[in-house]
Amino acid sequence: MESDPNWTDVAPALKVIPGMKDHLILHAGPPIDWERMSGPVRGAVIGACIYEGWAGDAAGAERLVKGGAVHFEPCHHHDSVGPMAGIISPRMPVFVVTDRKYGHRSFSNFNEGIGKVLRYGAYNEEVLRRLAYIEEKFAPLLLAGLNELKKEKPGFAMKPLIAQGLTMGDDCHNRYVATTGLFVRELSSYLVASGSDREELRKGFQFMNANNFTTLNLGMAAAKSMTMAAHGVKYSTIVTTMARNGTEIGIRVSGLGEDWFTAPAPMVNGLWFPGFTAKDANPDLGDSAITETAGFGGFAMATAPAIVSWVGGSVAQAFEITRKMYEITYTKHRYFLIPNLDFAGTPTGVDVRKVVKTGITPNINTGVASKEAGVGQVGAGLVVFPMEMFKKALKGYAETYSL
Amino acid sequence: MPTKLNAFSVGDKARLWLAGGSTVAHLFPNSVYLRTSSSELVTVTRKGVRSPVTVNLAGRGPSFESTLRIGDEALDEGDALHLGGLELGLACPTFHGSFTADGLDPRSALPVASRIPAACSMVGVMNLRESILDGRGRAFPEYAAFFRSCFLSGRPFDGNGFLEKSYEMLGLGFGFTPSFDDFLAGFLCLYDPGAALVGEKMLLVDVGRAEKRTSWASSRLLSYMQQGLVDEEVERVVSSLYEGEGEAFLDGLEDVLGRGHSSGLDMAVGMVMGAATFLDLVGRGSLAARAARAMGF
Repeated sequence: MESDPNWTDVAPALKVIPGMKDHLILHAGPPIDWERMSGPVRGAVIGACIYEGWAGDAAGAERLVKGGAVHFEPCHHHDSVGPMAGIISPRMPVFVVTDRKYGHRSFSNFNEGIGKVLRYGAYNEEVLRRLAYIEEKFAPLLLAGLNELKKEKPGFAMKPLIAQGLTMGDDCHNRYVATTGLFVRELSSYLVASGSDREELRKGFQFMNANNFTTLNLGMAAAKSMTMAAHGVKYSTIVTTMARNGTEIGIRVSGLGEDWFTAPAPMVNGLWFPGFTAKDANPDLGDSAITETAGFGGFAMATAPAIVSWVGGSVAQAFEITRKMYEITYTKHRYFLIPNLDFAGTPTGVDVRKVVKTGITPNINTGVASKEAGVGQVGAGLVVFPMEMFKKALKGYAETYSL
Repeated sequence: MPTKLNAFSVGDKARLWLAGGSTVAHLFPNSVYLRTSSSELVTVTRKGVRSPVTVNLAGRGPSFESTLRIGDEALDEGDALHLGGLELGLACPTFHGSFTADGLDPRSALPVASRIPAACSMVGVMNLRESILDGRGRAFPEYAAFFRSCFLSGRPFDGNGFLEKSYEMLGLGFGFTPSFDDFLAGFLCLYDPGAALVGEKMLLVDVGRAEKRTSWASSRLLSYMQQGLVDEEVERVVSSLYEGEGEAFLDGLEDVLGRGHSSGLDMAVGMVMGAATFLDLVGRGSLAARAARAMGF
């Protein structure tokens, strides 16, 4: 809770992410190989291979991957997070977030918007054009604005941004409407001062204006920083990673090193985009549960009643979810407050012991990808995490600290 | 019009005992304790874990606390139990507890010995207020003295002495079923089946004597546990011990841990000590003493 994540840089993944190398693709969730990858992750991998210039088309990308020329590792093994498929390839620009309190650096890719986008497994021309725009125009634009801001401040402070967003009706997982507005408001004068081309500025503002999720990935990188500060505490039973790769869901625990405790990825109870149904949905996917891990997102749903129009459920259910999460968390957040609950702190720090004791598992909200590669987002909804991995973690704890 | 609910499982003992008539003795939101005419305890519950002394109801329904009162009579009509404004359909399979240690080689349990330290760690980390392991708990000095006397004296385990001291401890602790009662229930359901196998005396609590120290409900539950009338979760722990399945033993303990406020933890502590004490009988030496120390005694 005391970490102080600041957005401090934008750079190609290859340059800044620890351990990043050529022909390495980072993905969401626990480790997985091509054979076991779900459709949307495969689709995003194909898109990344084409984007990187390693393959000319989908068939070429598949041949390349099957031939073993591309390696896969979880984002979390590289201090990174990515929503949905979470694909980060070497050339992609990433946000760099620096924790000024504990010194950690964390990373996330850029958000492309909703619908047909790489993170949901789409890889057509439109997707690749947008990725190129982000790399060539949008990322440099934001960096120029950030550099102006850094003449006055050490970085863009993320914790106050999230805290403010939470008091304005965002949960900062699936609703970033206010937060993105606040972000653009704060950055705009620096963007103007950066001397960037007026037309590119206009396009940049348009791009952010069209995408409420502009700040999702930054929020996730900030959450990753916060949870890195909580990781590695001997004897601690606090969960510091919850992530899904579309096939499996996994958690890591502060006192249990880098071990993953996994279970099959659950299905999402969703609201579907026109033309899609639950039959089109892939199992749960993405690193975005890092927001709940850090004490916001679905755990703060009581502060974001409007989110039920996006993820389903009812306002009463949103309150109920937050209240239930207090039963499985270690404490209330000191800085992330819920006005609707008399400014109570958000439920923070999932404790494996409390999950096993109460039988209550984390509830989060999430986007839903099509199970088919190349399609994209088909809805959004609510998901309850399986108990199995928490029981495995408690057992792992018992083994590690066997008396 | 009564509210109709259907059972998906009725325990064999429950079916037998309900026939003689019963009344509501205790109410919880999702469970009812019925006291039968023979003073047995039958639990009617929405929870899914089956046992020989339980009626498990399918689906949702009103809170029992809002629909029933203490003292309401239950009328058994064979295929249905009329209880206050509820009609509980009993036309469903009968559940029989299935585990028996008869014929098992007691040494087959030995592989579980290597999992006892992890089991101690698992229950130790749960650290619930007012559980038997709560070092700040009001009753902890008495639990500690009991453990020192029974498991840490340096002498071989004395079953009779354990039982006598247990009578003095019954009713001690927090919760609807007091912590020590849960501990003892857990201990006996693990220890007794194996004791019989190695020619040691089974430790059986006299229920009448127990009832003078603790509540009727708690003494009944203790009685059923020592008779092996256990639910599916407890049965998994018992069978995993005697089948030498260490991983399943830990998995089973995890399932038990969630019960009540601290009942599950107290019972799990008893199970670990019961298993360790039995394993000492088949040649592991000082496992129970090490377990007691590892859990903070």
